[in-house]
Amino acid sequence: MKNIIAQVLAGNTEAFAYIVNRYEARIYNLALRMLRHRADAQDATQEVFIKVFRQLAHYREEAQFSTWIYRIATNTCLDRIRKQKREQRQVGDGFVFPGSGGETPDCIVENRQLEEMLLEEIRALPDKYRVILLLYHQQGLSYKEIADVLNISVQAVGTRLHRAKALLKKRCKWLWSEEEAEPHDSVCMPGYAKKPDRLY
Amino acid sequence: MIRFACRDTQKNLTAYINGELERPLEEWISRHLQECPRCQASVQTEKRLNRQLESALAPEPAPEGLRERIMASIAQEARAGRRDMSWGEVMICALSLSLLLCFAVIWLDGPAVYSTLAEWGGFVSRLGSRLSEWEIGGGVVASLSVQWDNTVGTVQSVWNQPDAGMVFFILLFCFIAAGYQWLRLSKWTT
Repeated sequence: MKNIIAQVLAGNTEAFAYIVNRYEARIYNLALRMLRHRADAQDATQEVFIKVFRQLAHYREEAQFSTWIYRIATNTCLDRIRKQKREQRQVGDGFVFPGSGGETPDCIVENRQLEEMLLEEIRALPDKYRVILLLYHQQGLSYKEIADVLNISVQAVGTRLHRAKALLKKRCKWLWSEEEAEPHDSVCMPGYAKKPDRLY
Repeated sequence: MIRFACRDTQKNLTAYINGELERPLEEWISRHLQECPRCQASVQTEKRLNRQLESALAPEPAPEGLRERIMASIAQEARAGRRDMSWGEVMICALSLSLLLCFAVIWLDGPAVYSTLAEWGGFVSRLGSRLSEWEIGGGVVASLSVQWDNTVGTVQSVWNQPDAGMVFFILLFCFIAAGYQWLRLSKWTT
């Protein structure tokens, strides 16, 4: 990465493609779940890379490059959310939910509905909780890395993640209510039976 | 006692499952879980939520064309030269600009600068007296005028001190370098 950065700073713009290839999907997915709209997520991803390019000279190696780029990404997303809130835009369309292989059509529909409901609850979380939830469960960052990205203590990361999940558990009781004969994940969600490998 | 243990376990459950606890606390919670069915159930709920979260938040590939769009904008940025300067570049620019401004002031001649400043002060003073005639905030402008005269006087007395040029140069240099950083940070909020 050091070599790539040096090349970009020396004027080799093509070398920047390496950084884009490596982080494009991660930043896009983070932005997608933070901002909700596909178009916004694409714009935010582009904005993040432009900022990275412009500020590359200021990157210091004390921080990991991924931490630095995630910091720019989360700030960009949070700025956009603030702007969206100001403009009071209507949100909620433009989602596509991933399906897992080997499911029957009924299960796919049901799983997607459940995922949509869960995503709806994630969207309703306060920004400071949602960002931590995404950095941990989607981006696979450790508590320490999240603390570095958000410039907060590791303890604060733990507390916020715990509160985020407590809120989700409170709001999503339908996912594992005692009244149900079987929990959803064991009946109709084969994709949930096995914990997926850490992303990236 | 038991309730206290459960409360502590519940509080640290997320970090416990995520393997982010210190060893002693992790061992303590493990022991508690062996004897508390209620907390065991909470662990299962938490793990189920984790699986559901990871499935719902599973990443999808970036849209086609996004990479090209990003690289096109980067090429545009590079062509326009819109890249933040490194600290070294900032220092060189600030140094050059400070020297340039110092020479400009010397060339303009200090007293000429004061008289220009005093003229501006005189303008403010005249404006103040005219406004006070009309009774619209003239007092404020008049006091500004007095303050302006005082400031010009202070600058003039400092300028007459030995090494004033060097002090002026250093202040200018710091102002330009700090101003650049302030603009950069306020623009990008990283």
